[in-house]
Amino acid sequence: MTYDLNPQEARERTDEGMELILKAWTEPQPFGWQGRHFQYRTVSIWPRPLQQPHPPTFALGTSRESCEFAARHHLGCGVSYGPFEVMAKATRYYREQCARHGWQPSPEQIVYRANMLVAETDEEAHALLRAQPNEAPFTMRAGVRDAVMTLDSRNIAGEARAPVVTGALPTTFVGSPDTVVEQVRRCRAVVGAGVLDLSLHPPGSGDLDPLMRALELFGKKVLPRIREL
Amino acid sequence: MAPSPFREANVEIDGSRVRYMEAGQGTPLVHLHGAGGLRLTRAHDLLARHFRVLAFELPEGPSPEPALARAIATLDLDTFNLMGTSVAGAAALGLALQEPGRVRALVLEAPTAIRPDKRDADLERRLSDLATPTLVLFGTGDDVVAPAMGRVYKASMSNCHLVFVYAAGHVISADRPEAFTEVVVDFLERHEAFVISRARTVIHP
Repeated sequence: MTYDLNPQEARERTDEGMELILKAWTEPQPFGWQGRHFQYRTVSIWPRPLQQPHPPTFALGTSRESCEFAARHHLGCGVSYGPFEVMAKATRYYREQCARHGWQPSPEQIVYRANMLVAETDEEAHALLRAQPNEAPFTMRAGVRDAVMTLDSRNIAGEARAPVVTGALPTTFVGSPDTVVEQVRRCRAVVGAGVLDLSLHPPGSGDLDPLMRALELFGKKVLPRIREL
Repeated sequence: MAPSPFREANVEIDGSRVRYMEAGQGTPLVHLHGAGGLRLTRAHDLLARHFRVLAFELPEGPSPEPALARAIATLDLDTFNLMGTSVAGAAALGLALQEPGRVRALVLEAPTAIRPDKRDADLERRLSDLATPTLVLFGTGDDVVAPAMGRVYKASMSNCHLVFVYAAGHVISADRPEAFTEVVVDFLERHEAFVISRARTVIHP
C-alpha cells in the first residue's frame, strides 16, 4: 500500500532496486542502467562510500526468495518478530544458500528484530504482556485486510504461513533481566542472530513511563551480560 | 508476430561470397554477430525500424576486418554505425580503429576483447586513440565475461559510455530485446547527448 507500490511487483522491483544500489556503490565510474523498473542513463555516486566494497547491507525478510537474494549478493539477512524456532528455519535456509554461493555469514550478518518486555520480575513482565491489547495498533478495514491476505503469500524459508494482519506482533522476549538474558542466549543459539533490533515499548502504547523503566533495566542489567554472547 | 523484414543477400570479395541479412532504411547499421553465427533476433527487427540494418556473416579467419571493410566499401556505405556482439567486439573495434572516419558510432554488446584472465595491453593502449562515440553494454547476469570488464573500455576510451542491462545474460539483444534496442537507438541517434532524458514522465496532463 505504501507509496502505491503494486504488491505483486514488490519483490521484483525491490530486487532490481537493491541490485542497482549495490552497483552504484561498487562501480567506480558513471554508468547507465537499463532495468525493468528503473532506467537511468547516468548513475554516479559522490562521495563514494567509505566502506569497501560497500556499507553493511541486509536483505530483510524470511522468505525463501529473500534468503536466496541475500546469499547471492553476499548480504546480511534480517528476520523479525516470529518465535525463535520459526525464524531459525529462515536463517538456516539463508546459511545453506550462502554455503551454496561459497561463503559463510558471520553472526553480525543475521539480525533479529523483536519486541521485548523487561521488568524487575517475571510476574511484572507477564502482567505487562497481559495488559497489552492483542490487536494491531492501527485498524484495517475488512476489504483491505482481505485483499492483503490474498496477495501476501508469506512463507518462512518456503513454508507457507498466514501473515499477521490484524493481531499484535508477538513479543518473544518477556521477563526479568535474568530471564531475558537467558532468552537472548537461546535466540543466539537457535536463530544465530548476532544483532538484535529491539522495541522495548509496548506496541501501540503512548505511555512513556514503562518504556523509560525498561530502557534503564535493559541498559543496567541486560546489555552488560549479553555483550559477550 | 509480423514476418521478419530481413532479406538475404551476398557480396563478392575476391571470388568468395560474404553473406548478410538486410532490412530497414536510413543510416546504415552494420552488425557483426557473436560465436553462435548469424542469427536474427527480435532486436534486429526493432533496430530495422530506425536504421538500415546489415547483419554480416563474419568471414572465416582470425582477422576478418580487411574483408569486412572491402565488403562494406563494395556496398557503397560511406559512413555507418557499427555494432559487434561478444567475440565480434574485437573485430568491431579493429574495424573502427582501421576506418575511424567512416564509423559514426560503435556499439559493443558484451564484448570479449578484454577478459579478466586475458588482458590485452596493446589493444587497451590503442583504444585510447579511438575517439569514436562508443556504447558498451553488459547484462548484469553475464556468465561468459564479467560485466566489470566494462570499466576497462570506459577507462581506456575517451568517448565511451557503459550501460548495464538488468536481468540480461551474455546475449543481451536476445534476452531483453526492447531494453537493448531502446538504449542503442537513443545512443546512435544522439551520441553522448543520450544522457539527457527525453522520456516524458507526466502521468495525467
